[in-house]
Amino acid sequence: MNSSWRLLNITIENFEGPYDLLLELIGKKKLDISEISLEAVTDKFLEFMRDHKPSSSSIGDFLVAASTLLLIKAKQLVPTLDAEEQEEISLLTERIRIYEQYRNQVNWFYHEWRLGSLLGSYALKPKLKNNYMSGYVHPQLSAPILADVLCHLIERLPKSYISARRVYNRGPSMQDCINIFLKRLKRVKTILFQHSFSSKRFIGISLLAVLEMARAGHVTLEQEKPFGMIQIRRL
Amino acid sequence: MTDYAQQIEAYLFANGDAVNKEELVQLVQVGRSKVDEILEEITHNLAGHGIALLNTDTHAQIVTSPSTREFINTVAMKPVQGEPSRALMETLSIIAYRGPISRYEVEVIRGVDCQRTLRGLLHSGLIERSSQASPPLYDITQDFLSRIGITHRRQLPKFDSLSINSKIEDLIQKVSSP
Repeated sequence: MNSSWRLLNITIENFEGPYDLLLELIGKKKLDISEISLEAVTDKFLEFMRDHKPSSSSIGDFLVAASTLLLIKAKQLVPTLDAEEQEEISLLTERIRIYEQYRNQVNWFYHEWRLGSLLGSYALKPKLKNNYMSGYVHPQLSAPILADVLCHLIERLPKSYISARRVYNRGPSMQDCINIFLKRLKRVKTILFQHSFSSKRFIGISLLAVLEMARAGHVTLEQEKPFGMIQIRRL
Repeated sequence: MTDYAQQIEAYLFANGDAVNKEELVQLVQVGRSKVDEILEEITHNLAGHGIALLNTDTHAQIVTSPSTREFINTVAMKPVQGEPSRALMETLSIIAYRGPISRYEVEVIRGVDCQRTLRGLLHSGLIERSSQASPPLYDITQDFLSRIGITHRRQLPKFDSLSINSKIEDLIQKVSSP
């Protein structure tokens, strides 16, 4: 690593991107921004990148600039570049010149910032703006008056209504259905499933009960065809 | 001074904070261009006074004039708030001169990715984003103008050459083209 950089204790984080670094390098050589000055600082730029390794968020930006700088270097060996490559070099030069113009204004912004802001109304009295009653008390205000006002307010509140509870018939549980089926199977050997429940609401729970009885070995189930009648036989 | 100018001036004074110009349009029931004319009239009338009109594209606010800034800040004993980093200030510089501006244009000029920087500036209230445009455009707020002590962006140094620059327009065109 170049010792001058070490003495200045500068890291790549001190620069706001590749253009900032290039301007710094060109400035040190007291050159104007041009293809010649960029060529002159290319080695230093690449060395700095190698030694300080830009962060993952900025490395792409540095690599793009580096590739154009290498193109400038290559021009020394191959003086005739194609139009696209020459355009790339011109663009970089132009971009750095334009960036410099806005960068140069930053000192003015900092100077003005440090002088302090323009202030709006009430800036000197924020409490007055936020609390209209600050420092003011009604001369006749007392605890009995406050209590009286509160009682009146409560009386004026809208009445709340308690809605009637609605009771829902939950229907039989699975065990209830199993018990019903077993009780009926004591009188008859076979039950047709589709004829065994009083309401379609109970189809689901009845089917679960029947399957559970079959799993437990109390009954067998037969169905001759899809969607046909399901016969429940007592074992 | 016209009646409208008096009314808007009084409203801005009583409000204290920045007022959206659309609110002023509703207030006096005139068109937006008329409101801008009225605000120019107020600006002209307040010249040389201790208060001034801070005027952005979207908001207006009556504030202490730049000429009294040092005095009023001493009286108010207001500490200068933490200043933005260089990255933020560079980005602010570009947006102040060229706003409203897209993120892409900012990045063409700065040469680096600006997503995080713009997010930081949005969070601080120094810039605002208009999502109605596509791509979204960024511009400075009245808060930023008051922080740097000017009442209109035209008062920025070298505003004419840095706000509209044919070289920059050409550059953006060239960089954008495949």
